[in-house]
Amino acid sequence: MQRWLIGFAIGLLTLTLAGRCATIAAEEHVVHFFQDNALTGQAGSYGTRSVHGVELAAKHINDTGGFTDTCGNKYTIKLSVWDMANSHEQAIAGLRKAADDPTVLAVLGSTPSTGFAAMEPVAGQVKMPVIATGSAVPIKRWNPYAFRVTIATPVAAPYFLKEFKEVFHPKRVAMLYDITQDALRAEAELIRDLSGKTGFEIVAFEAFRVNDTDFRAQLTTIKGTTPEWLGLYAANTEGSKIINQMDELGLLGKINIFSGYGVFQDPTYWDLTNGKTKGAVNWAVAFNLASSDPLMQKVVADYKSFPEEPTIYSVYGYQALQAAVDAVKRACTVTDREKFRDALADTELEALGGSVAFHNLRSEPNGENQGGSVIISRITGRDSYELVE
Amino acid sequence: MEQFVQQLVNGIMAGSTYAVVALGFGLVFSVMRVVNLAHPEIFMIGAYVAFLVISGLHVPGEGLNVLAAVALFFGVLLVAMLATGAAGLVLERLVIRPTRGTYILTPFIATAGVSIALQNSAQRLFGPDPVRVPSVIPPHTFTLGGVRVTSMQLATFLTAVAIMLALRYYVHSTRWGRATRAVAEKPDVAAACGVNVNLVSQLTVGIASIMAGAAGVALGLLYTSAAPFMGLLYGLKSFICMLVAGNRHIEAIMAVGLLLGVVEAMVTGYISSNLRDAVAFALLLAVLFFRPQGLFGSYEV
Amino acid sequence: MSSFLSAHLPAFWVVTLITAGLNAIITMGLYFSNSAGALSACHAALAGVGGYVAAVLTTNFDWPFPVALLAGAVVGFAIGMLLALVTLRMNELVAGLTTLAFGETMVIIAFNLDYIGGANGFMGIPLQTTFAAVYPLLALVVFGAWRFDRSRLGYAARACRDNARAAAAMGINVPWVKTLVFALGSGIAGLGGGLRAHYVLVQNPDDMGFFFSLNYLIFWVFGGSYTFWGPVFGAMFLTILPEMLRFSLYDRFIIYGVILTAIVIVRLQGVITRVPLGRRPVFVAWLSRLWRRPVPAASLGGSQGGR
Repeated sequence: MQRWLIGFAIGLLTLTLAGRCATIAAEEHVVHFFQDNALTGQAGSYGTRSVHGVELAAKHINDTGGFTDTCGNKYTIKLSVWDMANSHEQAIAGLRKAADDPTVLAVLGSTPSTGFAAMEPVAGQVKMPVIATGSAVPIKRWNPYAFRVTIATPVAAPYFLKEFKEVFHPKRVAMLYDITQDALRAEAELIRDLSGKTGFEIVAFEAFRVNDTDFRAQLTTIKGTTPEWLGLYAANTEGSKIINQMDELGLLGKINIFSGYGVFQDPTYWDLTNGKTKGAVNWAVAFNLASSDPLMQKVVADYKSFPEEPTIYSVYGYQALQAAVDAVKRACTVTDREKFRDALADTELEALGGSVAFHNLRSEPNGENQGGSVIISRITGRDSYELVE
Repeated sequence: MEQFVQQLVNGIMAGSTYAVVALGFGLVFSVMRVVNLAHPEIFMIGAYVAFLVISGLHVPGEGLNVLAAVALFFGVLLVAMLATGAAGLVLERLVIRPTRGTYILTPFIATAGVSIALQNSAQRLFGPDPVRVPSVIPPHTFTLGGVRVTSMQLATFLTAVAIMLALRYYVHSTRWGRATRAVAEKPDVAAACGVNVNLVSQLTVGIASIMAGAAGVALGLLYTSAAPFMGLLYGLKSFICMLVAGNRHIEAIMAVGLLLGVVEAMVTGYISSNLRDAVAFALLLAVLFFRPQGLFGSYEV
Repeated sequence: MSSFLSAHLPAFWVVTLITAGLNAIITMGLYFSNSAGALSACHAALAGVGGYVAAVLTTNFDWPFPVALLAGAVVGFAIGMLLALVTLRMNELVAGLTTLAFGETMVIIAFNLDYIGGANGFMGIPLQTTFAAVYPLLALVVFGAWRFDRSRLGYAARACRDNARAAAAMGINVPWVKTLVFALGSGIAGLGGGLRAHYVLVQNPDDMGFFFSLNYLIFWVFGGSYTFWGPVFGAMFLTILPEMLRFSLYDRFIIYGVILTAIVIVRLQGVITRVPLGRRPVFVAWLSRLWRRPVPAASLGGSQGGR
C-alpha cells in the first residue's frame, strides 16, 4: 500500500514538473498576446472559432514579415493559448498567469460569458488589458482594462426595432428565447419592453433552456396565438431544432422569423435546418462571408486550413487582434501595458467586416465597441444574405 | 381543444424520447444496482454512428422510395446496435464488473469518468458543432383534425415500444431472462444455483447498450443532428424516470417517461414555459411522496 | 502570510490552490451531510444559495464579509434542515432524487429571479477571498470533522449510515441525527459557496446545477467516503489534475476521465480509506514517517482508543 502511494506521489511530482511552463525572456521585436478561451466543453464551438480567427490574423501579419509601429520598430506576433473549459476559475487562472508573465502585453478572449464575466473585474485588479471576442453579457461596472469587440444588445436592438417597424409594420409578435443565456434573454426582454413604443404586441413570450431538444409544446402555444413574426433567440443547436419543429407543425410558411447577433448567417444553422432559415431576418454586425472585400475573401479562403467554417466569432477574433496590433502601433511598446491600454482606449479602426472603436476613459470606463455598423439582413442562401432597407 | 390534444401528442412523443433512453438505463439499474452514467454517452455514440453511416453512403435523402428507406433505416439501426453493443461489452468488462456490488456510488463515478472521456472524445473527433444527420425516413406529416404528427416522431415512439416489448420478452420468456431476474433479486442465491453472474452482467449491459444504440439512431434521425453533449439532458431525465418508476416492471419506465413528457408539455402550454422543469419535478416528487416505493413498486421502504 | 504566498507563488498556482481549497470545503460539507447515510445530489445548489446570499449582502447592503459569509452558512443550514426533514422517511435513492430535483429547482428559480441577475449572474461582488480566508477555514472545517468523527454525534451518524434499524434499536434518535448532520453539511457548503462567490466575483445559476453537484460527489467518493481526509484529498487532487494536464490542449479532459476511472477501479473503496479510530490513516502515517518519533512499543499493535 505504501509503495503504491509512493509511486503515486512520484507520478504527481513528475506531472507537476512536466507541466510547468518556463517563462520566456521577452524577445526584442516580438509582441506576445495570450488567448484565454473555451476550447473544450459546451462553449467549445465558439471559443475555437475566435482562437482560429486570432491565429489567422496573426498569420496574415507575420507572413508579410510583421508590422511596423509609428516609431519605426518592426514586430512579429507570438500567441499562446489557454483553455478555460467554460469554467470561471480556469478563466481567471489563465488571466492571472498572463498577468504574471511580463512578456504578455494583452489577453484576447474569452468568448463565452462564463469567462468574460469573471475576467472583467480581475482585469482591473491585475491591470491587464483584456479584449473579449464575443461575450455579450451586460456589464454593470466597467473598469479601464476590459474591452470587447462584440456589438451588444443595448446598441443594436433599438436600431433593429426601428428598421423592423419601418420595413415590416409588424402587429403580432411572439418571442421564444433561451432563458439560460444572458445575451439572448436580455435581448428578448428588451424587445418585449420596447414593444409598446414600437407599436406591436407581444402575443407570446415563451422560454426554454439550453440543451432542450423538444420545443413543440412552446411552439403549439405560440401557434395558438397566431403571430406574424417569431423572435427566435437561441443558439444554433436549439434554434435549428426549433426551426425544424416549426416546419413539422406547419408554422414555417405562416410565421416569419427574426433574431439577433447575426445567428442565421452561421452556415451550420443552414446545414442543420437543411436551408429552412431562408427568408429569416436578423440584425448583424456588417460582415458578409461572401462579400467582395478582398480581405474578407482572403480570410474565408485561408480559413479552410481549419476544420470548421468561419462564423461571426472567427471575425470577432480577427478584429480583436487587429485592434490590438493597431494599439501597439500607436503605443510603440510591447511590454508597457499602461501605454498599450491608453492607446487601445482611443481606437478607431476599420477592421475586418466592420469598425472597432473604443472610448474607454480611465475616469468613465466603458469597454464596449462603439463602432461597428449594424445591418439588418435577410438570409438568401447558405452564405448569402440581402440587406433589408 | 385542438391545442390540448396537440400538446398531449407533443408530450407523448417527447416522452417516448426520454423512455427510449431510460429503458436501457433502468434495465442495468434494476438488475445490477448499478447506475451507468455512461449510458447517455453510448446513446450519443449510436447517433454518431448513424451520422457516419448515412453521410458515408451519400444517401440522397429525399428521393428514396419507401422500401429503400425502410431497408436503410434498419441497416443503420443494425450497424449502430452492433457498435454500441460492443462498446457496452467493453464498458462492462473494464469498468462495471470491477466496481459493481460494492458501494452504490462507486460504479456511478467510475462511469462518470468514462462519460467525461467519451464526451470530449466525440468533441475532438467530430468537432464541437452539432453535425447534420440526413433524414432517412421520408418526412411526412400526418394531420388529424388539426393535430400534426410527423413520421419520424411515430418511428421514435414505435422504437420505444419495440424496445420495451423486446426487453419484456427477454426478461420474462427466455432462459437468460429468468437468470437475469434471479440475479436482480438475489445475486448470491442465483450464483449458488449455478447462474453465471458475470455472464448475466455482460448480457444485461450489452442489451442495454444495444437499446441505447437504437435510441441514438432514432433520436439522431428525429432531430436530424448529433452533438457531443446530447446525452446530458437525457441522462438527467432518464435517471429521474428510472427512480420514479420503481424496480418492479420494465414497462413502468416507459409509462413514467411518457408521463414526464406529457407533464412537461402541459406545464409549458398551460402554466409557464419558464418554470417547466421546476413544476415537472415537483409533481414527480409529489408522486413519490405518496408512493415512496416508486410509482409501480417496488423499492424496499 | 497570504500576500507572501500570493507574491511568491506563480499566479497560476495561487488560483488553482484557492480553487482546490474551495472545492475541498464544499466537499467536506458533502462529507458531513452524507455521514448519516443520506445522499445529497444538490450540494452545488446549497453552495450557490450561500454564495448568492453572501454576495447580495456584501454588494447591495455593504455587510462586512465575515458576517455575510456566516449568513450564507446559516441560510444553507436552514435549507439543509428543511430538505432533510422532507426526505426523512424516504428510501435512500428516492431521497437522493429529491435532493437532485431540489437542486435543479433552485437553478430554475435563480434563472427567473431578476433581483439576482437571472442568466446574467450576480456581478460586482467585491474580492474578499484570499489564501488567508480559504485555508484557515478549511483547516477549521477539517478540525471540526476530526472532532465530529470522535464525538457522540459522529458515532451516531456512522451507525445510522451502516444500519439505521440497528442504530434505532440502540436508542439513537435516527431522524434527529440525520437532520442535524445534513444541515451541518449544508451550512458548510453554504460557507464554501460564499467564499467562492467572493473569489470568482460572479455567481451564475448554472454553477448550481447537477453537473457541479456530481463533481462534488465524485470528489467525495474518489477520495474516500468514510474518512474526512478523503474529501479533502479527492477535491484537491481532482481540481489540480486537469491543470497538470494542460500540456495537452484539446485532450485534457479525455485523459482526466481515463485517469479518474482507472483510479476508481483500482481503489474501489476510495483512495483514502477508513481506519479504526485511534489509529492514524495509513496515508498520514506514511507522511509522518518523514519525521520519526519514538513510538512506545505497547501501541505498535494498533490498539483502539488513542495513541
